[in-house]
Amino acid sequence: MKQVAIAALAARHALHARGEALARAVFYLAILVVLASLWRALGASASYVWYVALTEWVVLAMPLLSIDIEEDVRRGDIAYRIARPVSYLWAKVAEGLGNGAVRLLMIGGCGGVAAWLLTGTPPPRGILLSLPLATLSFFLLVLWQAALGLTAFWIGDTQPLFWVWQKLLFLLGGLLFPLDVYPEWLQRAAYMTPFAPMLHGWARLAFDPDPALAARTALLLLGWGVALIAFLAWLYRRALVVLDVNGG
Amino acid sequence: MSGAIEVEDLRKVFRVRERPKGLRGTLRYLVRPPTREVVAVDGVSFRIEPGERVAFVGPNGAGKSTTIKMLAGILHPTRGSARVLGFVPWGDRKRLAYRIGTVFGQRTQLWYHLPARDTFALLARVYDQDDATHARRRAELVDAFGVGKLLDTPVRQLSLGERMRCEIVASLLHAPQVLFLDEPTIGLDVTAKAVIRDLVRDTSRRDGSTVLLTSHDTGDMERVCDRVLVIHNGRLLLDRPIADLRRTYIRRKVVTLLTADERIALAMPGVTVTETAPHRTVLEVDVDKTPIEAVVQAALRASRLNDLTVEDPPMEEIVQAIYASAR
Repeated sequence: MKQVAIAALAARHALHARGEALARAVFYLAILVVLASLWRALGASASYVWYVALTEWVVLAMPLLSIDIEEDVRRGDIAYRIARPVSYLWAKVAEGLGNGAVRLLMIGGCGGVAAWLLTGTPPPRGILLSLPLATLSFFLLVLWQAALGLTAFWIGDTQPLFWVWQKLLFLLGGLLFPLDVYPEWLQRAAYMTPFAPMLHGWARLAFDPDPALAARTALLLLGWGVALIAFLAWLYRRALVVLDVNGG
Repeated sequence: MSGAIEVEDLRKVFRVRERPKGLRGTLRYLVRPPTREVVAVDGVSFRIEPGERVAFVGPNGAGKSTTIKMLAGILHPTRGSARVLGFVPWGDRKRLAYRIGTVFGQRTQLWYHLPARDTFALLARVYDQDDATHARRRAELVDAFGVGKLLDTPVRQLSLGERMRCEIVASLLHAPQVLFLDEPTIGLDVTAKAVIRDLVRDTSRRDGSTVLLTSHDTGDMERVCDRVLVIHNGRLLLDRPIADLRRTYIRRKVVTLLTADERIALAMPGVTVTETAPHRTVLEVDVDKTPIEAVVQAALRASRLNDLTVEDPPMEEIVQAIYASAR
């Protein structure tokens, strides 16, 4: 499959461009140190540090595909990339996945060791359950990034939209605090969006290793994933119409 | 016999959004952006035979890129028809993609941190090329383009000229029958330009591939192509052999002399001094009245030369001359 070859090459490319991953890893470690101190001061269990280590891990490993796509649209490169016998959209998604996979491993390795050292406790039992879900969630984040990038066909600059999306993800996904500390109504509202299962849904397994919770989150992520793929395919078709009508 | 590229009355109109001024205008823009129509290509017709090398020239905004995008199947025309290798490009884009190649001077398809060999291997997968065919074709092109020593060097460490040679190899790996080249020598030094031009021409001759080249550099079209199509304001102004164009329009050359003497004087028919500075003289030479060789000999008699360059007039000037004569 062509996309597998693209993802593999993107992963190799990312291995040769380690600077950005290292910068993200340093930022990640700084966040972990601050939050671990905060949780310790609040008297919370070590599991909460592991929770933040998990949520921050996938968010910081996420490739900024939206910027890549926006630049392709702005510079007009997209018109030329379309003239190849592989879908531009799915080639970009494959590139993001390959690139992100390397970051997941690099940042994840650093984070795992750091969280262990900071908490003094080994990874909780729920981590094993959460890892496949984290990978699925990461896939969804890449799809979101591609969708945000494609909006450049209409709005030109995707950064304001990305900013809003990112803040919704942080807030309704429970990036820094598990949704359990939110009021009941906000928890319910968050679970009506795709954001809650993308972070809190599986990272919660760090302190609540419930297989039923894992299964529910997996179903939610799969459902949102299917919806997102369908939306992305539709958005791409619309983008090609815009390219045809407004020019490249 | 059908042509490699057949274009009949091709027209493309874009709707361009216009952002009005003021708060009310901005709000209206967000809800329903006002648009105006721009005619990018206006009833263009031409035919290119298999193996022909044709320059497609015109000033910025003339409609070159839009025509090429339609021929590559990226855009649908508003009116008219086109066939590339027998395919309707916008209807058969995917099948056509296997048989055409593109080189865009300012855009890269090579992966920056990896050696070109890796991009070549990926392209083999993208174009469904089996390993044996890929290895054979790559060996041919690597030999022809002299990039054997560059194959395992990360692309970021290559010079612009080396990178461009690798870019062209990448575009030719799947043995396209039609090659679209857009400013393939932009930003290159004189030597690298000459190398790229010769390689493109020789590869087209060897493979029998058709070349459609757009460039602002008259040297590109003179060295690579046999025929020129001139487009201006979306309309085809001229379709002629390059030799005719040279005879009719490229009569003027710009000669820059860097001399040992501070100033030199050259009084010859058809030679005008357009710029002078200490040790530097720029001349405009009408080659019908005085050949370049005679100017160089006279300059050598007048002073020792530290450097000398001979340039064609810019494409814009040639197109303007064609445009003026077409009116």
